Amino acid sequence: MKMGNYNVWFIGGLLLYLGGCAPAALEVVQVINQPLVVEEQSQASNASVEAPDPMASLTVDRFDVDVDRFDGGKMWTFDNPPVGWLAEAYEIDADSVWFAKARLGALRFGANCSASFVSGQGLILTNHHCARESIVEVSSEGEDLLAAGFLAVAAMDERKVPDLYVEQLLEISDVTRRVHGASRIVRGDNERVRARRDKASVIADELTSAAKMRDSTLRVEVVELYSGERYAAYTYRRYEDVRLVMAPEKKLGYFGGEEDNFTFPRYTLDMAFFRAYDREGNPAVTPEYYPWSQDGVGAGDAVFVVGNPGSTSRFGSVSQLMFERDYTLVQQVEAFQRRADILQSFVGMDGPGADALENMWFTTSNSLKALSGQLEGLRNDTLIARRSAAEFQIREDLFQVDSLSARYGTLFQELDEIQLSKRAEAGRMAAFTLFGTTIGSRILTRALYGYYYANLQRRGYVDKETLDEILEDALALEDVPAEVDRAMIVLRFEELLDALGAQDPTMRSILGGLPIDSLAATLVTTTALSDSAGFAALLEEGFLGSEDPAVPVISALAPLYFTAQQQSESFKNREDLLVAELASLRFALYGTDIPPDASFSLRLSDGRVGGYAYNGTRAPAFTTFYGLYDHFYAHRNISASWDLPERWRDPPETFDLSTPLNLVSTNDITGGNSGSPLLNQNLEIVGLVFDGNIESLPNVYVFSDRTARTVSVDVRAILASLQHVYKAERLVEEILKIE
Amino acid sequence: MKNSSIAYGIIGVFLLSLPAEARQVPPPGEADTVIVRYQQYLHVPAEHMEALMVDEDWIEHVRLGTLQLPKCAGALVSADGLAVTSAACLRSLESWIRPADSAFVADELFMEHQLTGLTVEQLVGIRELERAEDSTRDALSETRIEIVAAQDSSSFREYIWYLYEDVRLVLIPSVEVANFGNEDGIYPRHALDFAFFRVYDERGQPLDTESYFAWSDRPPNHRERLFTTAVNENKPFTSMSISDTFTYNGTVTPPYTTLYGMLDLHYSHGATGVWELPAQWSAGIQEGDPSAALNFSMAGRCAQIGTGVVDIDMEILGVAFDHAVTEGQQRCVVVSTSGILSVLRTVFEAENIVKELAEQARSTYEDG
Repeated sequence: MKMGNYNVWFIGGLLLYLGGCAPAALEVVQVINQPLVVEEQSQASNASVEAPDPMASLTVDRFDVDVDRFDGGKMWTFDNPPVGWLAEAYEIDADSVWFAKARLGALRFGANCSASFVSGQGLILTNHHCARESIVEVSSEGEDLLAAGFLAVAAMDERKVPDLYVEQLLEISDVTRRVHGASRIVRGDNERVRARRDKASVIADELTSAAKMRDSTLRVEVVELYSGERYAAYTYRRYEDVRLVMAPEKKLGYFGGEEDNFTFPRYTLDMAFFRAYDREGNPAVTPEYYPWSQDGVGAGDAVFVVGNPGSTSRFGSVSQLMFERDYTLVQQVEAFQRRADILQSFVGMDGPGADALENMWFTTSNSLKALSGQLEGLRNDTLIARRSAAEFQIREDLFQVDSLSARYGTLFQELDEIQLSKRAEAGRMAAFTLFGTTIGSRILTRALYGYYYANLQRRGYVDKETLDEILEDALALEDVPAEVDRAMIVLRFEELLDALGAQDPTMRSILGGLPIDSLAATLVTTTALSDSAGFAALLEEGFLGSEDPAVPVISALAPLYFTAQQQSESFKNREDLLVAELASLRFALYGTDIPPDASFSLRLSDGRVGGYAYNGTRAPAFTTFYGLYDHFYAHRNISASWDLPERWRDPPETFDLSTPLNLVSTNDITGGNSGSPLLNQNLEIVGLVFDGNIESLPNVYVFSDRTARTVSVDVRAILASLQHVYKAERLVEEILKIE
Repeated sequence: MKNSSIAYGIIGVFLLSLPAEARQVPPPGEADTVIVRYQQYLHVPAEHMEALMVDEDWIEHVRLGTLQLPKCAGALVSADGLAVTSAACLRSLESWIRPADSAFVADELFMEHQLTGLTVEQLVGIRELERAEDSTRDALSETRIEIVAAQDSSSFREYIWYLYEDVRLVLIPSVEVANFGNEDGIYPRHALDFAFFRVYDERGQPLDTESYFAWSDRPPNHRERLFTTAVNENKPFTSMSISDTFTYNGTVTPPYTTLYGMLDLHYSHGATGVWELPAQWSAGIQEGDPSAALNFSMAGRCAQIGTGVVDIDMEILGVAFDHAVTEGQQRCVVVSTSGILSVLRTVFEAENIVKELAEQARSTYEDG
């Protein structure tokens, strides 16, 4: 996933997907959102919108809150490592050797997770929920490794995962001046944003070519930091031969299921082992691995997470945040809720499409939980008050310096004004929330792909590679049961009618006087888009020229959608530039000591192991295997989410159930950190990050470590399971370096 | 006539306002999650009894199996006067003379410790009267008569309470177990908050009674209807509630917790402070059945602390020990008879108590 190189519509903080097919949740964000040049449409809007007063409705005043030094978080870059802070807070003398070691053991795992090397022979540790798709892919006919788990008893039993790769960050260099140079003489917001992205892409290609001359496993990405105020070239080594070594049963890897997702106390063995191989087919030599800590950590100990957080929104304006609270998040939560209501009535059914349905359900409920938690956080006045206080301080400081007030004096006002324009358009946008994603009607999404693909082909300004990528994405959509599709079509048209009104000419032309139910029924029974084979054939012969009943529907709807997207894109480009200016202003005022928002690139985050107040009592820093059995026995008659496979029901005598299973710490993480190592100050691995608690969801907007926690699997639990339950002797010897 | 009293009018307001309330609630249906309070046994509407599949005899048995302690209730659990309540109900007594937080186990009758000054009461009769003067005021010295009036004094009701003044402590766990984690007012919970006492008759013999609840060794079923009786002198009632799960902390509560959870918390918190189990408990629990239910919760507030929680077959499944509010939801937290039985066997090693409970049970579980 190349963040910053193209514009991805992002649901903040959603990268830490748990279970299901992990990438399913990511697919949601890969929508068709590159605006097409469409026919002129009347865009006039007469809606008048009043500027909200940020403090008008708050019960908490900005003067009542303290702005914390770390409101912006602790996702430190390796470009600008927090040497001083680590010395101050933990008395750690972290030199360049320490940071290099911290960086080189860490990995980016596939397109949406983190991982680490845990042996000198390329052994990789990540989460079970990051490995799900791989586990399914390496299952042979008749095997269900997701359910049964997997252990490669000998090296030759390790199974190569097609298309899986891991990346190790080798070098970092600043390319800000080159990227900014490209946009300096360009006029127009959209053009400037595009010029920067194009330049970043050119630099990445250029540096990749040069790097490959040295070593063909290297590639370079240009990472956008501080909203584009900084650009850095990251050189990665990519390991493209990655093999599955060990995975527990899904019941262990996903113990607690959807219910326990984003919660603590927790009892989940969310782990999996892989191995990187070199091009000769030998285990990769990886001397930079993190040694395994047999003693683990204790409450109060300093711990460090090294991984790839996906996205946070901590540095925009308060007006942006309020737009998020009042529109974006509300619309998304409502749209996901309506889809969840539909899916809930179908989920659990057998037959064709059941797997895709389960993935859709998982992604929907996961997203709903995450977004609802974020929305709740924003609706808590303290959060907005804290951001308001910080913004007020910037405004004050800004006007103390003439040169700054001349350059940035109108910045916040401009950001406020964009929000007003967005508010005026929000109703129309709402009709298309989640449109063209994997969540919803397959028929409509395929039709949109068909329409998009045909138009790109016809206009001829997109290269073949891009076209092929789109085609691949389109054909990757798995079939869902017809009844689900039908319900989703009905829902979409109800949403469209709600937003646009029954008199809207597009709606009238699509419905032609028919009730929505009839339209949906007709589409489902007569279109060739119901299954992927029919869709592929139709794309081949030319979708738009076909007689398929989905053609007139999408031909009416798509222009409306792309116009809305284009409008949204244009707002976003303008905002991006202003937020980059804001970042530049922060630099001028406070220097670069504050780490930037997450960017799915490598960060180090410090914290301490510790419990917290919850539910009227105290959540412990650790849980144990006794808790696993407590939940198994308590829930077993009414829910499968806490079920245990046979071999776990009667653990061997040698297995000490008081072994720590999961632990919590105050590190700053978000989606994308799944699979990150949790390290002690000697850079030994003590845990495996797999989730944040429910209190951590609003951290997308302001970091807090009062009750927000990172949740990890304790390495002692991993080792004990390998030794006593899985009898994975080869793996244990490798981890513990027993010759 | 010692101990008898007449409370005209004063409490009538409470009492007679309740039947009307009870009549307003519909018969409990499948989806019923709220408490239904049946004011008095005389006033359970016929259609409710039918829906609940209970009859007058059932209601009388539940009433007679319930004992009233100061500010608490208790439940008879054997034909020999053995009764169970919440630990806090006994430890708060003025006559409590032992070290305040210690455990006490009397596995033989002679070891039982008399709780001087404690009187427990049993509601043995209820009569409708036309005139207050019709009361059987001069009954036995062991009874207390209470007469309450309708608000307009048009009718009266007489309660006849039987008094037991020889009450002896049988078993109580230490405070660190009864109040494990100091988690007052919440659920999920892991506390062994119970105590056994025995009621003796005037001749100093263990009370010979048929009105007890058979001890159950099972956890409640999901959404099972359970009943409690408070014979609270102001508002005697039988109430029905449902044991179920509810959302909290981003997830859903377990339908009940288990002894495994107690071990989890002990070790999770580093076996220190309020989370430290007494010596031998960890081993003792594991020797028994650590998967036994420990606590569960029911919708609404507890009828009364210490009251028995019984199923439709009048088997006792737990003892209500705390009111909880979790994320705005009122719950009554109950210690399960299943978990109590497990620790009686392998932690307290109270073989005779286990035997006495098992003898009364329909299904025998004495051998585990």
